Amino acid sequence: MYESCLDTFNNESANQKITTGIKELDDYLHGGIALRKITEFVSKSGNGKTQMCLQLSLNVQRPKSLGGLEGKALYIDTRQDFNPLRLKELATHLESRWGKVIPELNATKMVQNVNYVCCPNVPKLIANILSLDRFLSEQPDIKLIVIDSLSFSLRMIEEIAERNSVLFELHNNMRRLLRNNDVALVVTNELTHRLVRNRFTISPALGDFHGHLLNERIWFSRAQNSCHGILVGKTLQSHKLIGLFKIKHDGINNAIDRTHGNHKAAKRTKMSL
Amino acid sequence: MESDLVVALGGELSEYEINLLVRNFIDTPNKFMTTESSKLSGLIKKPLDAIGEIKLQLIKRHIKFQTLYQRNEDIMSISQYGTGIETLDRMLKNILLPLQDNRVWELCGIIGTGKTELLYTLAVNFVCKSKCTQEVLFIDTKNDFSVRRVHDILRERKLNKDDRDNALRAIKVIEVHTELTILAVLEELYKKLRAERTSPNIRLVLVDSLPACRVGFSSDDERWESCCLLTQLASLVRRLATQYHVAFVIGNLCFSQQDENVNPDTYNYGYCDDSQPQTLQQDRLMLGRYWSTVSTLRLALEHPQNTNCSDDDIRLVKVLKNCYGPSGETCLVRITDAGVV
Repeated sequence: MYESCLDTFNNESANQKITTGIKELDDYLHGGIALRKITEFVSKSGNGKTQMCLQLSLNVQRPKSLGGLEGKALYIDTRQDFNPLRLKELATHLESRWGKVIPELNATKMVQNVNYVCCPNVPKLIANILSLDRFLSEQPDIKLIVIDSLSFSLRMIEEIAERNSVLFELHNNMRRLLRNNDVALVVTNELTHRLVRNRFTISPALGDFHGHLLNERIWFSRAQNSCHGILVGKTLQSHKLIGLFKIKHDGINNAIDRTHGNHKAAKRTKMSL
Repeated sequence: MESDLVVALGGELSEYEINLLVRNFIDTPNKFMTTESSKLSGLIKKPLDAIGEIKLQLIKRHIKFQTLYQRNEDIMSISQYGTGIETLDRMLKNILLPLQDNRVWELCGIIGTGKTELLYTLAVNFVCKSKCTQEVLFIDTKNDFSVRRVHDILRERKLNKDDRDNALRAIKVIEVHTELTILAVLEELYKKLRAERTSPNIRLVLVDSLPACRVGFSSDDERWESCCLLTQLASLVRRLATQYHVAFVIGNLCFSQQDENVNPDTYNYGYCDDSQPQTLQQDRLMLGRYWSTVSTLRLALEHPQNTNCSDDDIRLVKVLKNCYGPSGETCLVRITDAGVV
């Protein structure tokens, strides 16, 4: 009836992850974004959430011979901000790396492997989430679902009780989806100001209970020298800086070579959420 | 075969009188006690004083009081585990409430304070202390149990591979998604313990966390259904604790009073914990007022308010509620690679 930790531990090594392309983050996540879990990227606008989502949509297609999942992605865009040209640019770079292993996996093919759906309002978002079970059964290769962003359309609902109700409904369906399918779910969220104990503090939108239901929350911040910081932890009070990255034309890269003491350098760098 | 009434009242009443009572559906000692004395007097033609005397004799024969000395002997047979966290154990010893058989505790805190980490540590410390002879059941409602983290904690404690494997074997994990499933899991445990088969040797149950499995209840009807399930769960937890000496530590979530995203009507299912006057400095608990009466000890995990404390890994453990003694005691713990110490 009960599974022991030892059984789980022995089976876990076989689990595959989607690499983020950032060494420190992959190390922290024990290989990358986990399947059957909800991972949230949170930051102010322009700190790399969407870039990371685009990168993951391609990284999930990494050939099995290179330790990848060779899957496909579904990109749910609530902000109507999806940029296919940027996706093609990232794919072209990956083609030069993976093309040697699988010649037929060219940039066009990679872009075609990213399914896209636009959900500009909450009813469409809910309808899409509800229909995902059927969609995933038709497309079993999909290993990554991105919702960019989860909070954007939800925050348009002004009535808090109604917003919470919709959020609960979405969470319930997302959790059911992850139980039934071998797929990773990545959502993005914005930062907002909140009055806590008579003081305004910066915190992720959608409240604490939403944060409680997440499996991982990863923060991106702006640092010096056009670098971005990666922080992990559920709240601003408990988060920890684990590394730095840079967004370049060819995608997301480690900002400083690990061999040159990335961790120490990252700690020295001034961070600004 | 003699009826219960004959056994109980054979000395005081004749066979004819007992038959009269039975014919009037007063066939058990309990019914005899609850029937009005005037009615009994009319049936068996005895004065009221005599009926009162018979009832008194019945009470004396069947209700046995236990002396405090005897009770103390029962208490001495209870196993004390301790949490394995030195400062926490010291604090709990001060309030005479160490972790032991049949405790029902609640662990609460806002998100990111380390509740899950503390529960992992309790699981590891428990199995290590019992030399893996007793087992822990970890009920994971968030699909978030990290066996790798538990393994890392064991490795940091310099245990060899065999000991690590034994400890991992003694920690049982079950993933649940609704309150109904938790109820089913605990019912199954209860049945197994009652049947005394090759029973699971589970003496500690950790739940991480209860509010997370209630996310599916959004409409008013569903929330009321959820309240009923919560009552059943509380009753089952108590039964397991008192009858089979299973200890429980149940994770709960706190939220800030001014969190605009938390509407008490939505989250607390109409039951805000307003039993105590709250100040703006206090956080509110989820699961409502009824649930707040279930646990005998409530521990809160907080970030220390003291600004001199620059270490991000330090947490303050505070006794919010203690049914058997003083509350308000605090201690500091540290979250390390080897768990909470």
